[in-house]
Amino acid sequence: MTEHSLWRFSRAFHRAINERQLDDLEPLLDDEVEWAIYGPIDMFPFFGARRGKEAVLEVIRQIGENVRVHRFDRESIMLGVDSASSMMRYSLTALDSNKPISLRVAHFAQFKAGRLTSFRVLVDTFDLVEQTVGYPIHLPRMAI
Amino acid sequence: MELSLGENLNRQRVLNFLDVYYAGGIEGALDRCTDDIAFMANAPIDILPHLGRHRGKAALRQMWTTIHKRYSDMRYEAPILVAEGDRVAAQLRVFLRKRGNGRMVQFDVAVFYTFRDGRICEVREVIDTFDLVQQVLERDVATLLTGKRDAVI
Repeated sequence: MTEHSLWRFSRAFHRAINERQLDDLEPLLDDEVEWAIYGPIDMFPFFGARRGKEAVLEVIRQIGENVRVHRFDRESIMLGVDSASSMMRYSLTALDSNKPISLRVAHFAQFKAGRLTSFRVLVDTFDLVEQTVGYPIHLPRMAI
Repeated sequence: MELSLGENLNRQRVLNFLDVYYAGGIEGALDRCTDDIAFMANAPIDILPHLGRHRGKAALRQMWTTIHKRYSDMRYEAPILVAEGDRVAAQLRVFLRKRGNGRMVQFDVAVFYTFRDGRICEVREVIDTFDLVQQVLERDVATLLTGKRDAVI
C-alpha cells in the first residue's frame, strides 16, 4: 500500500517552514499549482492566492520567515482519491513579536501523480488577528 | 484508492442537505440530522452570537431560523468535497443577501460533517471570520486596527 501524497507533502511543508529547507518540497509541487490561504492580506501578506511552483515556494519561504510551528494536532482527517482534507490545531510562534499563537486551520489538498495541484487553507482569521494584535477587538454586537 | 459506495452516498447526502438548507428548508435539513447533533463554528460569538457551539435539533433550529430571518437569496458553491468513511469535508463559498439593506455577503468556510446511521451527527466549521465580520458589520476592521481611519465598506 503506497503512502498517500498528503503525508509526504505535510512532512516537506513543515520542514520548509521550520528549517527553511525547500528542497524536499519543490518536487512535490505541480508546475501549475494553485494555492490560497483565505484571510486579510493587508495584515498578513503571505495570505491570499498564488499560482505556479515558484510563487508557492516563495510564499512558503515568507511563511517560514514569519512563524515557527511548534506543534500541530490533526483533529479530523479525510483522505480521498488524490485529495485530502484536515482540520488541525496549530501552536505557532510569530517570529517578529515572539508571541505564541494557537490556531484552528482547515485545509483541502488535491494531488495529481503525487504532486500538489491545489491547496486551500481556511483559518479562524478573527481569532488570529486578535492574537496577533494582542488584545480583543471590540465591535458592535449583532442584533439577534 | 477509490470512494466506497458508502462514501459516495455520504458525499451525496451532504449535497442534498446543503440544497435543502440553502433553499430555506430548515425542517428538511433537520430531518437529515440526528437528534443529538453537535455543531461548532469558530467565530467571535460576542459579535456573531448565533454561531459558536450548539447541540440538539432545537438549538440548530433556533440558529438556522435566526440566519434565515436575517438573510435571503442564500446559495452556496462546493468546489471541493472529500469523503472518507463516515465523514465528509466540504469547502464552501456561501452567498447571502442581507434582508435589511439588500447587500450581499459572501464568505468561505470549511465544513466537516460526521454521519451516523445515514444522518449528520456532527458539524464543525472553520470560517474566514475576519472577512465575515467585516462584511456583516460593513466595517473595514483592518483599517481600524492599523489606525488609518474609520472606514465603511
